[in-house]
Amino acid sequence: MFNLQTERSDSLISVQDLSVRFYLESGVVNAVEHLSFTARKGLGFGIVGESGSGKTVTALTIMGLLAAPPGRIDSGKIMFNGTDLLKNSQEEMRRLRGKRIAMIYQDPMTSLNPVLKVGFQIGEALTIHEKMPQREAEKRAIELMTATGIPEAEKRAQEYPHRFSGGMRQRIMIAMALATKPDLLIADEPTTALDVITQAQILSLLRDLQQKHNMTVILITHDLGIVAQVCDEVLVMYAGHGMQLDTVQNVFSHPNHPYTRGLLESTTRADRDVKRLSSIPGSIPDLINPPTGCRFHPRCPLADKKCAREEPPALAVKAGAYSKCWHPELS
Amino acid sequence: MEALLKVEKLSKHFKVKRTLTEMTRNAPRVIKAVDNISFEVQRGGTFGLVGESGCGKTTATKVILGILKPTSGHVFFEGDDVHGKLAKSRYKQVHREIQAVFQDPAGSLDPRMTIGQIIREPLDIHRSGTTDSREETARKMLDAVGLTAEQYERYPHELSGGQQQRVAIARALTLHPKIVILDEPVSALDMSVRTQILNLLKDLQSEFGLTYIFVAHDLSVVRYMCDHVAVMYLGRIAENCATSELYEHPTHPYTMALLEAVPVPDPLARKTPTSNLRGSMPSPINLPTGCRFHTRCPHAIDKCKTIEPDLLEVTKGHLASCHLADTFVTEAEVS
Amino acid sequence: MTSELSIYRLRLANFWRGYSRNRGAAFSFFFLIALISIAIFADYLFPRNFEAPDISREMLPPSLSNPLGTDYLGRDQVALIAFGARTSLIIAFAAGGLLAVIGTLAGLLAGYHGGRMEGLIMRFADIFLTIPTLPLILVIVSLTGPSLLNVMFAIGLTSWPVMARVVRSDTLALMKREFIEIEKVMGASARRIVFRHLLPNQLNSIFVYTSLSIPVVILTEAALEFLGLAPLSVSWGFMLNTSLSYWILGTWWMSFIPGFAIFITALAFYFVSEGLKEALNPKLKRRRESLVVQLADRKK
Repeated sequence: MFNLQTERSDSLISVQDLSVRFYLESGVVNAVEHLSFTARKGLGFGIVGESGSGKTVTALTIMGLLAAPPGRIDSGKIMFNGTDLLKNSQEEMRRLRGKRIAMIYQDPMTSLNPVLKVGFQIGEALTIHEKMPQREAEKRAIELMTATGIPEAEKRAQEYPHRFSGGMRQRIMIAMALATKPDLLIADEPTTALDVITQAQILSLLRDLQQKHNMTVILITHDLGIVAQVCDEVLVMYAGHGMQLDTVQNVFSHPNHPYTRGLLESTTRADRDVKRLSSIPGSIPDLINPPTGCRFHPRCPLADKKCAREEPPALAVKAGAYSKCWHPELS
Repeated sequence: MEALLKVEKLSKHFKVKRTLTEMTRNAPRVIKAVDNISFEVQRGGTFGLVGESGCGKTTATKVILGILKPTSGHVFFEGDDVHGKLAKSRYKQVHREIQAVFQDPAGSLDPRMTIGQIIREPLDIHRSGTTDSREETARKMLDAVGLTAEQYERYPHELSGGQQQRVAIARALTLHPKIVILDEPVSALDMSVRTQILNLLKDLQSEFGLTYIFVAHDLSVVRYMCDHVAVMYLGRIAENCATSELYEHPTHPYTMALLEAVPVPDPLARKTPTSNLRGSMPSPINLPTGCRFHTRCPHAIDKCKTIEPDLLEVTKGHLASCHLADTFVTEAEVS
Repeated sequence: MTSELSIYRLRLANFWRGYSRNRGAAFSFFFLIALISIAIFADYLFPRNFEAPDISREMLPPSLSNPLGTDYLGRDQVALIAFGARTSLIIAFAAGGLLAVIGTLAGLLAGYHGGRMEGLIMRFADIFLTIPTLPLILVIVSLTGPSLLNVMFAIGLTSWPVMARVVRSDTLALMKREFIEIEKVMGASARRIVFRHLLPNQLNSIFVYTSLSIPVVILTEAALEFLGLAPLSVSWGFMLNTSLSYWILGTWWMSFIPGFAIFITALAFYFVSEGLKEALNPKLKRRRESLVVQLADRKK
């Protein structure tokens, strides 16, 4: 299996050969298999995939929030700042979470505690991890709220979550996440529940903060447009496997994986008129009984007998980029 | 040529339950979900209805379908008022000719019925033909939407989201309607399946000579499917014109803001999606005075705060409800 | 003609296969069949004069000659249980069925139409809910006279409101689902929507709630017996009630036997309803070939 260089000085987090499975009564769900990627410091790293691709499971595994039974990490390493996160104890992960690694979720409506004031919740990370006194934490919370674009922050810090709109709540989430100046922020579909205008505002905020604080952002999404505009490197996942990893420029201009190519060719565009889009036939496979060999082969126009038999290795395209396909040149 | 469907000054207001304190404060009593909208749908085309959630597009379709009654205004189908006094047979016919496909693929299928029964349902309701002919039609529709014959006896939960949506489409077409309202038909589906369904819809449109009303919030999908688009904001139509016009030469600030905000899957067209809109969408209970959009509009002038703009023709076939629409037209032509 | 019958038989066979997968349900089904048979044929199984008191044999514990002991009047409890089954089963089916039908109809109508009709029905239901059940039944039965029919009606008529509430809330939840809206768009009549789409999707709650009401019904009948407002003196509920005064004497079989009979019958009803629920749930039906294919296979 392909092993990404972890010795690169600018890598912040490096996932190596990660496999996560869920052992259920109805069968074993192969959520993530042999996944490898590296996210570099201060860059926007996108993970693109549809449902069942394993992107959220990956994020939860990095955070140490995987539901341990029935989930199980069957193999792999996650190197972060020199330590393997998978070898950390619960206590060690708890100390990391919220301090060095933060996460924001898709649904801002349910991510906040409805009975606690917003300022308090934002300051919580500081009181827990940096042992800051309450008053100071709330002052910092107000600063953070202003930094994330919430007007009249001082007044609003005293309000409860239900008084805020979806976009505002997402900003609160971001403020919470940034309180301890983490090195890594994982954003799992942070704008899916928002309207397109609020989405633009949140994405531009994330981009600004990322550049200002030199923070690595792992952005999980299914929207290729978001990846193209906001990320520097991207990992394309399908049915638990990492299919292609490269810079955003390369993935979009030379998609040398049939799945990536298929996705790009089937994406609707608001910026140009398209007479007819081609579509990927078939549907997403069952993760309990995934296809043999390459997971994408039943839907792939280039598939041959080898693809059905053997899982392709992640062929290095160049340093830090790969394509998991037997026929990447033909793509 | 007479339009197939004509919506004329349609309004739908909902009464709001107020608490005692709200009543004493004279808080508003109604949500103007749809407020005085008018548009025409031409035969054989695909008319898009775009807007964010809460703009009233779904409410408007429910009135067109007859599920809701209008507060005021009319919906004319082939010249007949859908909610008016019609002969019983014509009434039934009108309602048969306008069908719908909704967003949630699993939710729109009765979990206790087989796929075959679901597709046959409209025929069973109207008792057309014999049991055998109904089954035959249903099987044909199953095939037409790309499902296999053996799926006739399966249950909805045995099918994937995309397949379920195909069933919903087959069912909608069984009665050979003239208009099909598609309310976010692909929003709940995965990307790789979306285009399959969109292409299927296009093919069926030419095969069966259908007219579509396509409701969506995703501007890229609308551009692919529709030849004519109306943009809605807080219950009113902001802009209504041919698709290419809307995307190339928008004249309403809301439309322009939407287009600027859409992230484009092309890293070379590199502009982080931005928005120079202020504030957030007002609640439909407390509508702003004057132009509903003025609280967020970067171009708002004094007039916008007091006078609500009418939907007027800006250039041929291009309508917009903005006091400054003309200024945007000249700019577009110059650029 | 033959093929129609064969399809019918096939459907039945398929149904039984699905139903009997729940062994508790299958067993309970046979148990109830046995119980019903005993109740029907009790006349032939036991002497005519089982009801005659025999002071010489009062309150005897279970023995070879009286496997379930005798009651306070010296009567053999086996016969009493068998004849008592008649009353209890009739009441259970009749009153239970009545409350299920009225409650379901009321709930469906209230949930589907909403507005004034819902208000009317639910306020009417509230009347029954605020007045304590037993006194109300007492009033009804004392006014109409202590016949089995009256008892059945009285119990059924006073117990439907809770069922109506359950069905109404299920109906309201279903009304929000898109497939109901589509039915309206397609022009389905209210009747079709209510009986073909709303009702079948609520069978779960209806079965469960009905089966849970059975023991309540049986015991309510017992109370009526005790107060002299029901006609038959042989019923499980009555046996249970009268035996309680004799507890001090240590005659556990006089209470335990009828109590156990009520318990196990109620349990059987519950399992049967669970079995029906599972058998009718399309999500649990294993993939099987179409009926036509199955028929063809059989013919080979």
